[in-house]
Amino acid sequence: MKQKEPFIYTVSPGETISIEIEPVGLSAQVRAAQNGKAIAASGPPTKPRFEFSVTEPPGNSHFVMIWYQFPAHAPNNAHYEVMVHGTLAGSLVSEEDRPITNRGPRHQPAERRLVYDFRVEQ
Amino acid sequence: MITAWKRSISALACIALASATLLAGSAQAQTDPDSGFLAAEIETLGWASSTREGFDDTFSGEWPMVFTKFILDEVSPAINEINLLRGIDFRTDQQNGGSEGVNGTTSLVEKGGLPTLLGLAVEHGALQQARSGTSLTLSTTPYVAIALANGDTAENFRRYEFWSNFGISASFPLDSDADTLSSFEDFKNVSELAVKWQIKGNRNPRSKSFTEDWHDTFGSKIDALLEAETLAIYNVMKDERLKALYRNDALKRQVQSAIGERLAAYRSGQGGSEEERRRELTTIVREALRDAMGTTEDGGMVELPMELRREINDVIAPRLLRANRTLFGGKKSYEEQYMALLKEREPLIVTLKYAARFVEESSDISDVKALVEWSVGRIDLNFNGSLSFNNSADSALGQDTVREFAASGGITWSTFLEILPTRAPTTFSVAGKVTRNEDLGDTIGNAQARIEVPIGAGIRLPLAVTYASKTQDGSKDEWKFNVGMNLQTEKISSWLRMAALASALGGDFRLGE
Repeated sequence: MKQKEPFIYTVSPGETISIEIEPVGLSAQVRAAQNGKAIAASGPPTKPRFEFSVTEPPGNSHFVMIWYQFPAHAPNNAHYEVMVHGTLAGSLVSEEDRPITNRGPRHQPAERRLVYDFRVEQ
Repeated sequence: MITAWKRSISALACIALASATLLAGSAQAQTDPDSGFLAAEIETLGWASSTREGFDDTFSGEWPMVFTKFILDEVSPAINEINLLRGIDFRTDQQNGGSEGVNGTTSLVEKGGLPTLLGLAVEHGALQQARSGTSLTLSTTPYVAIALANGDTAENFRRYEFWSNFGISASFPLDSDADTLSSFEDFKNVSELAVKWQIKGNRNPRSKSFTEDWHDTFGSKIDALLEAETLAIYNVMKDERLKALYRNDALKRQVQSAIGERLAAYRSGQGGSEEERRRELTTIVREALRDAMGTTEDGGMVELPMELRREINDVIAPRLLRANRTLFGGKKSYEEQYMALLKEREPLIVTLKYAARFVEESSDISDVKALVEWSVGRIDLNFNGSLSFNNSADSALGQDTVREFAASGGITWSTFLEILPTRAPTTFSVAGKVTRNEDLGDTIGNAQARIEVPIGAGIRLPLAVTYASKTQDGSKDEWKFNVGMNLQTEKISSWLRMAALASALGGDFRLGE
């Protein structure tokens, strides 16, 4: 796995990808789906991880959409840190992605939905 | 003098009829820049980033949604627009036929809602008249003039919806001088002219406020369905050409730049209302993507393979609809929820009416009426109160200036019958009316059972059986049967537009999946 730019990665067939999310200043209220299927979170509830295997042929993408929930009156520095891991043939590659912050009005709950594009290459 | 006036009104009614029919027939598929998936996405984008830097930081995570929503809007406006359009046929609050003073009318109690473009009703029978008759009633609002001049677009309706609160109607006897309505001369014998003002309770689902409520109630839930969203992105990107465009960094940066440059203005409130700014932003994004992809010669949809259009129509859009239904728990159909929303937000309708009635060999009559409807769930309760005056009372005939007082009430129940060819509600109603007629010095009672069946888009068949304790010439009690056919050009226009969209999709119209 290699980060091409934030939110866009190149991955290899058979690779296992996991997206690890660590909330800072708030609790983890996140959900995810990939190419039409919800992904159940694994790992501790305070640092959930969404995992899937690369099954698409080269040229295609795995699109993962993550719902980041921000409660009302969360502190100014509240954000989610995102780490993406790829494992292939026993080797682990990790890339840090953009932290996700709430840029809307802070007095009301808000969510951000963002898509991560994992492009399959040979 | 009065005849010339009647002729003028009649001619106007004929022109309105012809023009509105033309308008209905020319309905075209068109994209509303302020509704649909892309506009909703732009709104989310606009408020998700307070700074240009913040916007640029995460735009790559938004880009798949912007691109996909554009494609969905281009190929399948059905999800938002058609669902809104079909709601027009769910309305049960509109009065199409003549009032109870008109020969042949099937309505003992008059409803307060107004047909927005043009309503036509042909009815046969009698209610309070001694003689059975057939009449044609044309109903419209001043909005039809705007629609004819500028087009009946979503944008124009939002801008001028105020004018849909005023109604004008004219009823003509079809059997006074001729057996059929065969010539212009038949229109001279207008029997009732009426104006209405709907003070409260406009249930038109095309209104801005209803559209906003619809998005609040249904839209956010649709967005929450991440599965359906990612499936949509995935399926669109299966097309190699689209995938190449989506992965084209120059195109992405162009769109990013177009949005980013206007973000500060969008957030600061400069450049018009929020809606206008969002519309501008959406249009800019849409045009940029259209330019990159090329559109069909008639300026319609972007050029896409028919297989993809069909897939969007057959797979992607239905999947989104099914996900929607799943989220709602399946307790009520979409139609029922939609109708409930229409009524819940405007449960009370209040309309005032003035009518001039022209009676052969008698004084002309003026009616002042209040029409009230209160809706709870599938039940509509209707009440009418009226006062009638003889315009030139003839004391030799025992006539007073005040001709009669009347009060009436009815209850209507609506349901969707699967056996019918159209998904519009069938209504069952019972009604009663008490009239104190000062000319006769007597009180008359009426009771009615009525069913109104939708037989096609915008076409309904009312059937009524009415008991009258006396007719207005003082003869004995009587049972009367009435039958009619109501037609609304607004509903037909909506249906034509939906059919045009379905045709462009190259497949069956999958509404209701």
